Amino acid sequence: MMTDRPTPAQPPVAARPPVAARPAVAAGSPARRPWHVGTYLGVSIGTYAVLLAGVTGAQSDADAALIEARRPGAEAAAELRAAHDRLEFEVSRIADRYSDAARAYDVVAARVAGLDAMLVELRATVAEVDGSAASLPTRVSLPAVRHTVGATVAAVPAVHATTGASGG
Amino acid sequence: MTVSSQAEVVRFEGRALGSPLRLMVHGVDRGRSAWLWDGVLAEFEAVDASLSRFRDDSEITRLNRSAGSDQAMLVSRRLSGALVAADRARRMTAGRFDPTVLADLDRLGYRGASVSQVAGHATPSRRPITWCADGIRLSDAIDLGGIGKGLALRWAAARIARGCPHAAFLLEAGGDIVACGRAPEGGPWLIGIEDPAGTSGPVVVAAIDNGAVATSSVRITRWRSDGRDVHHLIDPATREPADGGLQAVTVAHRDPAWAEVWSKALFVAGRASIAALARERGLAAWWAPTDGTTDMTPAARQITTWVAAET
Repeated sequence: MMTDRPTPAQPPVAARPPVAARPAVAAGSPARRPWHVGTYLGVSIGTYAVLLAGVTGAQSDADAALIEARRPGAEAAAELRAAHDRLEFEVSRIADRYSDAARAYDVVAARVAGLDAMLVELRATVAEVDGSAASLPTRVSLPAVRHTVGATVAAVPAVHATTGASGG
Repeated sequence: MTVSSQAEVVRFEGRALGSPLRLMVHGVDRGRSAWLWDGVLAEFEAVDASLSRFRDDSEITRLNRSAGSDQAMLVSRRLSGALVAADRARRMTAGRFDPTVLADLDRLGYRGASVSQVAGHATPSRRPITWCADGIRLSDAIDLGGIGKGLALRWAAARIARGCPHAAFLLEAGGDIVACGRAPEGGPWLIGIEDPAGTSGPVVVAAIDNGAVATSSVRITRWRSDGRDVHHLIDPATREPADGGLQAVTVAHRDPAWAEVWSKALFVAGRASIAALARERGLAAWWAPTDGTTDMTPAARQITTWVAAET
């Protein structure tokens, strides 16, 4: 809802100063039009357009040359990246193998330790046997058995042949 | 030759290689046994004609006469085989068995057929026998007496086995014996080892199934030379009769030739080394030192069934 406001009091309009009198066009003479302004403007715009097109073309050529110049580097970078990926894969695979070898080595090391312990036992046994063998005489002369009970002496068994000096 | 038969056992007796030769066979008929005996006699006669150093016409005598020259001679397969065996025995016994002792035996007076080169070399060659394209060449005269009888027994036993595979027999040549199969009683053949002192009874009795027994003894073959007692068992290291404190050595082996070789090699080794050497070689060996005792290896103890000293 609008509220009616009191309209401010309007100052009294002063009288306009007098306008300098323009030279009056002579009646009956044709009016002058600004063709040259339009021409200048068109020429300027055209010149600007031509210059802009030239600059744009030059920039485009420079960009193309730059792109062309950077292409080998980009390709080398791509190859380097691929090689890096392959190298990473190989390193990963080698690391896996190393882990496997390390596990196998642990198993072998445990077995070697067991064998080492067995060798120590064997060495002790051999030393014991060797000592026993060394103490054995090279020949054993059996004592004659004395027969004190009864008078029977084992008779010489019958033999099929006798070996001895031949004389031949 | 005498022949006797008791039940199915047939016995033959004769002489060969200067020693008694006996065959006891059972499990075959009398005619077959006689045929086997003829084969044994033929084999021993062939060995005598080929290997005997006492025969002037033997192959070994002819070969010995070419010793020391560059002349090679073609020989029979029997003599060639004997030379191969003797050369191998020399290597296997580390030279304790050496067939090049003929010159030493001759020097000591134990002479056979005359061989002009028998004087031999002061130091016999390390390879006395050379096989070449045109025959065999000797650098020293050879005596096969230490292995010849064993080879004759080996070949004769093989001949019997080929002629009659199922026959069980015992073949004896001058104290060396080869037995095959079981004795007539069903058990092993019982072999007595004579007393080197010369008493009538054995000092040990051993049981042999399939194998041989040989003895090297100085009880019989001994004589005086240059005022000293010598015998025929030459030590190749000294070129003199072995003097290791032993009277006799007996060895049981699968093969009669190797039994004979080892009995000589152990005799040469002497009392100080015989136990270790025989045990090292796993031999069944009995030996009689000069003190009248009798010793044996563990392998011999396993087949010993009776010991005089233990009765």
